Amino acid sequence: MPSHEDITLARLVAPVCVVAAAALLAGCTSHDPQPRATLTPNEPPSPASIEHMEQTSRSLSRRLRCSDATVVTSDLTFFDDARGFDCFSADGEPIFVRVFDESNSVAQVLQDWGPTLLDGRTVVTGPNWFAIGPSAAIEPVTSETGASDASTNIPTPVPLTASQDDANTCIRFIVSAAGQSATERDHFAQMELELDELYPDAAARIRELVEPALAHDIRTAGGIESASFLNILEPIASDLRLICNLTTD
Amino acid sequence: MLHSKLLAILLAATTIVTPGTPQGSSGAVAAPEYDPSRPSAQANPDGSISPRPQSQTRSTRSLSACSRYSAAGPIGGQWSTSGPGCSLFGLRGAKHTYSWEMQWFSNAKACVQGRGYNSRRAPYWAGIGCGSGGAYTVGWGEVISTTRVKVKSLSVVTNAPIWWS
Repeated sequence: MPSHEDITLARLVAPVCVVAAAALLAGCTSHDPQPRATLTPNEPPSPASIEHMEQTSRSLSRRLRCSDATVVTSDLTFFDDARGFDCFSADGEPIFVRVFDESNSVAQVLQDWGPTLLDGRTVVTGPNWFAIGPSAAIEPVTSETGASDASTNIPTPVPLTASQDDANTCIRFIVSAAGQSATERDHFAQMELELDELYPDAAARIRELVEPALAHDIRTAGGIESASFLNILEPIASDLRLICNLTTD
Repeated sequence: MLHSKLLAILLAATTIVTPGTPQGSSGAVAAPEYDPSRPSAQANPDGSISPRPQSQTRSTRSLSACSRYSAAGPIGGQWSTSGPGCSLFGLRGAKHTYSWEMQWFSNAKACVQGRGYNSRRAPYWAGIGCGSGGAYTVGWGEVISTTRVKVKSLSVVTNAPIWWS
């Protein structure tokens, strides 16, 4: 399996020309779906929403000068589906770009990012996206429609509904457990009974999904603290989300 | 590079910052969550925490006040987010070990998550155990942030009060 670290910006940029050309020919931008303001946790995004997120991500990637990009096809730190990429500025600082299906998700996700906005790291927000990185590196995305200035201020979130909060906490817990099943088997084993009490059959499902090769990749990367941990889990992201969907319906 | 910058940030943040107005000597340096009135400590690469040098802190709370907080998973089985814990100033490669236990009068069980930061300073939440207690170490490198946990009672008819640090 190719390493996600090997995915380059070329993979992001290559389809852009095709999409841009198609957009020009079809004049499709006026029909782009708008980000939703409210989202039912278990409702998957429509194909049109996915296309819109990917198109926004490509547009942002064209504006940024960064390297060693890793494509993000599912942000497993949040219940809302997302697209985006991680890459590095010219001076080697990480840049994170996330595009969400729901407009409210931006402020909600940024609450945990606030404490990392140090040492020149800032955030630019758009209607349903954000970019985090050194000010100078992310400045170009302020030209996007509806973009804020680069700042260390994070927007005030609309509180999550109870069901969104439950779905959100579930996916974080399941993702963490998936990592721990690979790196800390004793810790995972101690949690199995209670994990199944929380989310029926979750432990067995995680053992099944985190098969030996994937577990090896997680261990090699350095576990859940590793920057590439969530990228490694992307092939099973929808299955991990399904564990939460089945128990929070 | 970041290590030396962080030390400068710590000095600037502790002398200039007021809650809710993140700024410092170089423009924008302090985390929005940083609150100088709260107990604060330094997170070290070995997972321990230690008092911050007096020159870096104006907190009137001692390190011991940083050690234990109360939280509870509510009746009904929902996840509950704790209030802020300790303000931790993470050195490069710093880690923080969360630990928790049920309060003595409760025979309930709970599951607990704690917030950490990965090697690129991106936030994540880690499961720090289920049952009657647990511990888990998360990353905290080059971040100034406040510890937080989420708690869920494993019973829908009783709450699950915990001590955590």
